[in-house]
Amino acid sequence: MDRFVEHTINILPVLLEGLGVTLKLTVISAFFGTLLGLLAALARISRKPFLTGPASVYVNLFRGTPLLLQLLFIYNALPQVGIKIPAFESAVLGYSLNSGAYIAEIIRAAIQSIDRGQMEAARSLGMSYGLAMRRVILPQTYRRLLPPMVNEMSALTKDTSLASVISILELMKYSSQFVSRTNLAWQTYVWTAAFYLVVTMSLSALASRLEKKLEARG
Amino acid sequence: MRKSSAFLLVILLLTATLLAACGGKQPSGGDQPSNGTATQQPSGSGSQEQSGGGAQEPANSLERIKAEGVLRVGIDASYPPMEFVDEDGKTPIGFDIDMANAIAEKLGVKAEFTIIDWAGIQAGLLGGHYDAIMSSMTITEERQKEMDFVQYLTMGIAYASRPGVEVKSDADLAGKVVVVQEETTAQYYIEDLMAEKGIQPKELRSFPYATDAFRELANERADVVAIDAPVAGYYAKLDPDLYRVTGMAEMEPDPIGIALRKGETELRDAIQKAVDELRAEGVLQELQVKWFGDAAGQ
Repeated sequence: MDRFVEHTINILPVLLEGLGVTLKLTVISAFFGTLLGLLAALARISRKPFLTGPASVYVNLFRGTPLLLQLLFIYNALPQVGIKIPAFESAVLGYSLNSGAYIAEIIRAAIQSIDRGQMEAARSLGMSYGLAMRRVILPQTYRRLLPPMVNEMSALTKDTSLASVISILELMKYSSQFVSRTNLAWQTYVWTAAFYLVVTMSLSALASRLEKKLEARG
Repeated sequence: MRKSSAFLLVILLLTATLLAACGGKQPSGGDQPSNGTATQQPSGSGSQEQSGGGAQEPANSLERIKAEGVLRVGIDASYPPMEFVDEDGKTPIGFDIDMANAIAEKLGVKAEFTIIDWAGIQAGLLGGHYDAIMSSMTITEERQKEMDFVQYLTMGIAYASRPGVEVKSDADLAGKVVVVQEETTAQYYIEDLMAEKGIQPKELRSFPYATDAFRELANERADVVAIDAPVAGYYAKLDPDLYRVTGMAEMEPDPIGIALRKGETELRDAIQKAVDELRAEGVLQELQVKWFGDAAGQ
């Protein structure tokens, strides 16, 4: 037990540092991913071929190929055509594009779950398509969006552990390096798991508060 | 279809610009301090080019390294005592780190390390993120098709047994539960023994990490680990009650090399010369004693 306490004191600083990287990567990618996802979702339901086509290609491409491959491609193949992006920015780009593809489908499903009559009613009151979408349709999707978005954000948080293949040292890599140094596996992984849980459970807590708030408002 | 790829490109560029924009405000804890922004020179020729260069382009990567004063080395710091992290959990140390520093000194530059997961280490070299891999990479025919190598070490395979088991030779493996690290020379060697010499272990199991293999011994689910000798020595020293090195595989030790991009002749020759000198001066041997101790052997 003494060894466990001593080990814990040794690993906490570097695991915290790794958690910092994991969080930074997750938050920035979640922001851009949501932005991309919203744009792609709106494009997909727009019924304008020059928007729906590219949006479908984007969603299928990034949802249909392994994330690992996307990261390696951005970091290592793009330089060969002259686009050299530093490691962290490569990771943000990869995770944003990837999560954007999933988020696009989440948002599209939520929008399409709203009764079609809502749009027709709004349009018949003289609202433009964009205004109706913004004022009438999208606000009604928020509650339905929350659970799948929490899923996606949790997945994103955990997926950042792949970033060590493009030289990003995050929580998981620091942790496995410590295990290889000390051969103390569970004593290390228990803390790593706790750190990931803190992030994902904070997300769930935040989501359920939001959900209640939206419920109250009706 | 053309429209679609144009849209993708736009998304890509937009995001890249956004990133470059926010990256500009606060210099991130960047891995490549000498890099310009990504969007600045879209016509660049990738790995060969460095924005610091000015008017005169370096003729080859050796000259670029000398001009920058930095030899960039890729490692996966999870293979003690070859390359691993210090007590702080992040400073890279080990045989390969000392060796890389010594080689860099011979070239008149400093070594700079990029820690990267093994799964991406070769791609990172070809992508131009570092100039050499020094991470206990075995020289194989397959890898020689992709990269050039400078050999600097050989490594044999050691047998580490749990208390009560004494695997001293290949023949002693018969009837034992043997564990190896996945896709390593040790695994191939034992598979060959089974197929060609008729030595039949009770079971052969493989794990992704060396530590997993040793844990099988600690939990008494296996009898012996077959793994690179220095690594066996490191873990045996870490937990002497749980396992110890009891013998060596009866094979030619594997050649271990520094991996370089293909065709960089000047750099390869310079590193070869540095390695030869370090060997002649006895530095290589000193490092082996420092990091491998008794398990050096090879």
